[in-house]
Amino acid sequence: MNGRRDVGVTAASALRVRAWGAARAWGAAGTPSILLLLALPVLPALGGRYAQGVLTDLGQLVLAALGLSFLKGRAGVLCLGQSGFLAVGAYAYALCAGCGVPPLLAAAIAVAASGAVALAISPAVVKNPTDGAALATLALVVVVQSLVTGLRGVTGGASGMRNVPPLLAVPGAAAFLPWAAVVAGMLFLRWFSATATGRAIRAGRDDPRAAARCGVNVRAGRRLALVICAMFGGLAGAMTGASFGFISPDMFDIALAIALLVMVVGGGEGVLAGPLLGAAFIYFLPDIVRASRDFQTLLNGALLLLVTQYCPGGMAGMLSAAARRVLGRRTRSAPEKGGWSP
Amino acid sequence: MAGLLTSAALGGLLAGSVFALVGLGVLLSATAIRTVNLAVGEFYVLGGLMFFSLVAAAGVPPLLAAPLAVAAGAGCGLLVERCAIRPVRLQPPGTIVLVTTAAAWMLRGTAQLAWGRDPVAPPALAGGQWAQAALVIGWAIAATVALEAWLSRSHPGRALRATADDPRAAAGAGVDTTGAARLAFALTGALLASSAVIAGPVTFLSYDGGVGLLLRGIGAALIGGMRRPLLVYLGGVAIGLVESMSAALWSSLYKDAVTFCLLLVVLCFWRGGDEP
Repeated sequence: MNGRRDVGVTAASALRVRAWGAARAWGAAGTPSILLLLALPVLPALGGRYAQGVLTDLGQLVLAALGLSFLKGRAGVLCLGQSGFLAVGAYAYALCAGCGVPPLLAAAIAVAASGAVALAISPAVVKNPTDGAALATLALVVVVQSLVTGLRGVTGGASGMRNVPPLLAVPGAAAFLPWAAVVAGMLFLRWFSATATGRAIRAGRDDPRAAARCGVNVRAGRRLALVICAMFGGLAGAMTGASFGFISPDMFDIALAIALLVMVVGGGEGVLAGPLLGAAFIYFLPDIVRASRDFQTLLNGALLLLVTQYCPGGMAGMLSAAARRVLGRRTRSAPEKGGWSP
Repeated sequence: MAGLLTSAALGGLLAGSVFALVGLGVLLSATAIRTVNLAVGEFYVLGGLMFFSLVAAAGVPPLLAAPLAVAAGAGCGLLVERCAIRPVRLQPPGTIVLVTTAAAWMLRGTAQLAWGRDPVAPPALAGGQWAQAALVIGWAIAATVALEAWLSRSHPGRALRATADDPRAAAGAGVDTTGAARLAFALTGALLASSAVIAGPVTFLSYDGGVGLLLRGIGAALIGGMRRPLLVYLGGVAIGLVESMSAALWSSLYKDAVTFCLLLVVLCFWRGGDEP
């Protein structure tokens, strides 16, 4: 009798601690990375053109991966088509800005357009969050690529669009803006994950049936997460077009979508610093192993396989485990293993 | 107009047969993993490319190279099952889909490194355009009928179906579920490689062709309810017809868009009706 009550109390308090810890997990991993990020935009002033270019590319990748990490890690929805949302954002921005809409307003329209496309495909995604979502998002990439290639009169077809206006006509803005958006996005996701809606989304990932019994609208949560992910992607796409000044359908192919997925899973999904670690790793990997770009596909596939099988927590999970071993105690921000409840 | 429609219908039947064959592969491997296997398109491409190299580079006569390529395809399926699927077979479906994605990407990367970026056409087994088309259509029908009979009549086929319905109950009833999964993947690899040997001269083969075929095959399998090969075949032919008709009556530029919008609609109605 007594023992049973003890067990009950322990389980209840463990649940409470776990819920609290879950809400904090983004925050705890986020504080250092946000401090780090605030320092990063100073770098282009120190480095040359090369450093500026690297920062621009990397910032856009991290921004797109951040939304994907939220969708995969927090809502448990598998998305193989983030590049489709990037394409929608990039083309919406280029078309609007080309018509004389002020660039910042055009970027807002691009974000809204990506969100609208996500809303349109969401019935297929929210029903089966793993295989159905994977197929629907994969199909989205092909549909978007086919449409922008086919509508030659509007989008320039396969040869793309030139003279996409920059977001801000200030030197160094191309490198600064993505990182500013990354910091804002991290703060937003950190805040949002702790709200009632954010926790409901997470509960829907951990156990959809139990969450539904508790009155959570699981499908609505997945839909919201998908729209948020798409909006991050749309902004990243708009920034890609604005910084290059040129967009073409090839820039947003399936390979980019899979690379973003590898960044998210490899970095540690659902952890705020994960996309940062993963994107940096994947971006510099060809330089590290001195392989040509042709090896990229094979490398990404092998990484995805190895991470899924041997370290589901990704790099953030490995770092946190190493820190725990060195410090000899449980650190506060123990990221869960993988995005899935056992 | 009538001539155009007839040739479009024939072209649709031909393309739809290939989609149906890929759909049969999707169905077969879904019996083992209970979700979609995203590496099926890559099995097709890789099997066809191996056949191409055996004939064009090694000089093996086509009729000897074909069984070799089919065996290599089966080996490819076994390798994916052993190295990718089996370590995570008890994990949730999301992990399994992720692992098949990784496998697909590794196969695609291998094809890109070994055969380059240019599409190739393996040598035709039958002479003449019409004989070739008849061979493809006939092979799709034969594979459908054989699979339908094998899955519902034979002992291993029924064991496979039982594993797909409920792995625990099947294991409890004495079915070797690991062996069933191995068999399903070997058969998938062999089926897709043989399809590529036969249909490769029509579809052409390049390292990045797997995704489009895969999505169309999955569309066929979904329309067919992922259960009966006969319905999957009809689904594949339906997709082929829709695609060729839209190309004939409207524009071939939007062929992909039409097909995959159809796939998105089908996905909205796919299972999970009462799941949250």
